[in-house]
Amino acid sequence: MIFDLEFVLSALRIATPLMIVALGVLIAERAGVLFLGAEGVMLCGALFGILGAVYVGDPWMGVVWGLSAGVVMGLVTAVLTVWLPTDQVVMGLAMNIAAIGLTSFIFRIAADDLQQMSPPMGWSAPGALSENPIAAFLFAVPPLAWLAVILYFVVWYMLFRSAPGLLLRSVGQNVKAARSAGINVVLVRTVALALAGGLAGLGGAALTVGWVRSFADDITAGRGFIALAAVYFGRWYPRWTLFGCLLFGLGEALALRTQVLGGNAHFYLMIPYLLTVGVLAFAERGCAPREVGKPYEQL
Amino acid sequence: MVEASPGSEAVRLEGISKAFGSFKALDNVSVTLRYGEIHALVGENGAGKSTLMNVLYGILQPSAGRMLVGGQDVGSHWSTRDAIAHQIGMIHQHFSLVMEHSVLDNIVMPTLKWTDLAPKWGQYRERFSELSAQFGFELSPDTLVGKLSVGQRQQVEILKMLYQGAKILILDEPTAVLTPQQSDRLLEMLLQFRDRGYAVVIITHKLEHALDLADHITVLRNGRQIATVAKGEGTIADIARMMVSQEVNTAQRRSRSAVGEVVLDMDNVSLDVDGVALLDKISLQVREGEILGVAGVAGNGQSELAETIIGLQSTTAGSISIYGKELGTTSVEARRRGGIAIIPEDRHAHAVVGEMDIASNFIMGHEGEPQFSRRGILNRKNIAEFAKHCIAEFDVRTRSAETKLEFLSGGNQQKVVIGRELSANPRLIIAHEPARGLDFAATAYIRQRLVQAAEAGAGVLLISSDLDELMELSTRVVVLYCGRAVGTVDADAYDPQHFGSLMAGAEAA
Repeated sequence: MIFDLEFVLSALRIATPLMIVALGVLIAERAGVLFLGAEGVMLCGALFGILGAVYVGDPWMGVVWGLSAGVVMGLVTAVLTVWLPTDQVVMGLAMNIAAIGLTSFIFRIAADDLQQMSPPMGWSAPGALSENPIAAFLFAVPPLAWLAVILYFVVWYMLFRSAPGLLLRSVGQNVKAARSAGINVVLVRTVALALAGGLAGLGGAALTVGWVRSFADDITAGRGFIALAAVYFGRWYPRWTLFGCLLFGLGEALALRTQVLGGNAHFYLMIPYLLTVGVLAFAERGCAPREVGKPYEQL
Repeated sequence: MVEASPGSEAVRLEGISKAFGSFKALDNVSVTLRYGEIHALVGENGAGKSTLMNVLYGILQPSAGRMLVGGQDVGSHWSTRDAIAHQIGMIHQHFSLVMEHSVLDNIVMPTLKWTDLAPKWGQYRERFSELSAQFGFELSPDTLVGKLSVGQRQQVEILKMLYQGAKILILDEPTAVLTPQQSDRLLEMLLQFRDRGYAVVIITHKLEHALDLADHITVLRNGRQIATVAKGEGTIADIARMMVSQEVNTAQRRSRSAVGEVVLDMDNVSLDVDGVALLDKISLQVREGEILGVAGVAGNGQSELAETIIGLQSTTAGSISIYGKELGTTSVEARRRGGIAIIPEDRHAHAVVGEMDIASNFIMGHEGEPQFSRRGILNRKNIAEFAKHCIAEFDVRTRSAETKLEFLSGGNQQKVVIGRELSANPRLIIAHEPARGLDFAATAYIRQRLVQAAEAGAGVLLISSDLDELMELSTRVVVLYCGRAVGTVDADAYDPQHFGSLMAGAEAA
């Protein structure tokens, strides 16, 4: 039997980092900034997450470190693509390449301390409930997965029901309208990128601290881009983005499972990436927030 | 907010200047706006009208001068948020609406606070309905703005201002995008606002609107304030004289040169798309030195006529020849090189690239010519010289040739198009609505260039919805109706009644 509870949990573990990073991308792009650097920010979050978890000895401190590293990277992105502004595509790609170098370098320096795995993250059901299979399952779901789902509700409400959400979406759709409503476009985008960076860093920490519990060079291996793809797949709406992330998680979990059936592991690992290409080919373009990718120059 | 009784001062601008680099967009302009009055700002394209209002609305910071709103000096930190808080509302010429958002979202958005996590949507909706009822708007709050017509979008903009509680309303060229009926309705509404005690500013280059409506008219020219005239103190001619530095010769000369060989010969040209005849057996000839007018209610084949000649659409039957040589299926590029120039109806879509500089726009389509490039490498020096020459020759008002085209006013953009097309010494010029949306100095200039081109021996096909323009410039006018040429009228024998019935298709058999 391939599809058991363990399979669902495995898919969730894989999807969690994607879900969190995708949420960051969603916020940035709803504010009109192309967040191509998500991959690099995620990678930094992954490294600093492990560093925090190992040096402080608490996985939750790792999460905080990863998130903080992400916020800093988000602000760097803001300076480069919003304040200056430079081309968002070029800068995103440059950030990703720079992040690989930076994280590998720091990883070498700290290599001796990162030999063992970071402390595990999780909780177990209180004694009375551990007998109940449903409760046991709910407690087996990684805590960061729960956090991700809660964040989706929060972000959905903030973007589509609250006043700041409407203002932020207006910035992403039409800077002229936003400006003539007196909105400080640069400030809004800076804050959005700080949030987006924080979430991408958190997603990176979810990958290392919350799941594999160690770091390796380029450990994200394109997951930031898959998160980006999930946002496009979800047409910039939280619930469809969440669905896209879960789909990608399922794909990769399937790949891990089918190795048991024999054959080349790389073939199965290829599946989620093929799925990404397929989804992107069929997802509608043209519903992106209008200002995404356009540098905003003040008068 | 200070007392807003009719006649009391709403805003006083004192000695406002605004410089972009060394270019003075505004030079010492002083204007006073009062409640219960309509103030018109008139001037040529690029005279500084919009710049002045952008300063008042906090989008631009003035280089000098001071602003008093409700009698109080606003100081140097004046932002759009402040302007809105002081009950100033502005509608830009190009609307500031989010097409993907609903009417209600667009209207409420500027008044929302960043800290408001649970907005009272129900109340906003009620307030929207009240305002709509009060001013007679019929808009559904949940429709996406992108699905509305241009006139309705303007209503959304007006409602947006009113919803913000604006008492000082600024409208930048509000009638430019409207049909005559819609624009009459808008002007009536402005009078209604005035009577309710609002201070209204209308930026326009339609002088008759300004004279009909405004209690005061301020005339700007090249950023300087020429005069502020009270109602009844000036005539159209007076104000027109103030707007332009030199006396405008409103009566156009028609080309008087002898008519030469046939340049363009269209023989039974038809264009069928999905069984609809967009052009139906059109035959016409344009000779050297002649301006042939094409009239008709918009959408009766004018665009298709222009596009088949330049090669954007291929004909389904008939032939088009230039100097007797049939064009067949030759490419647009070959046709342009063969001496056809086109001034398209929609310059943004078909004639210019706003994000590129003026020099690039001047050589676009001609960049392969030896003077501009050798073996695919652009000769920047020659291009810069050519652009400089064109800017002077065609009177483009700009700081430099490196300015992005989109920063020019509409009239100056059109001059770039005309300059590029005429510099190639074309044998046939297709001019489709060449003066649409331009102020009358630019209009007069562009018409004059067309006449000169004809006198120099080119054939001109002038497609226009402006009958005065057609009658002034062309010798003969062809009337299109449902893709057919239903009549040709000599401009000298123009009879409005007869012409109108031709355009309405009454004589189409």
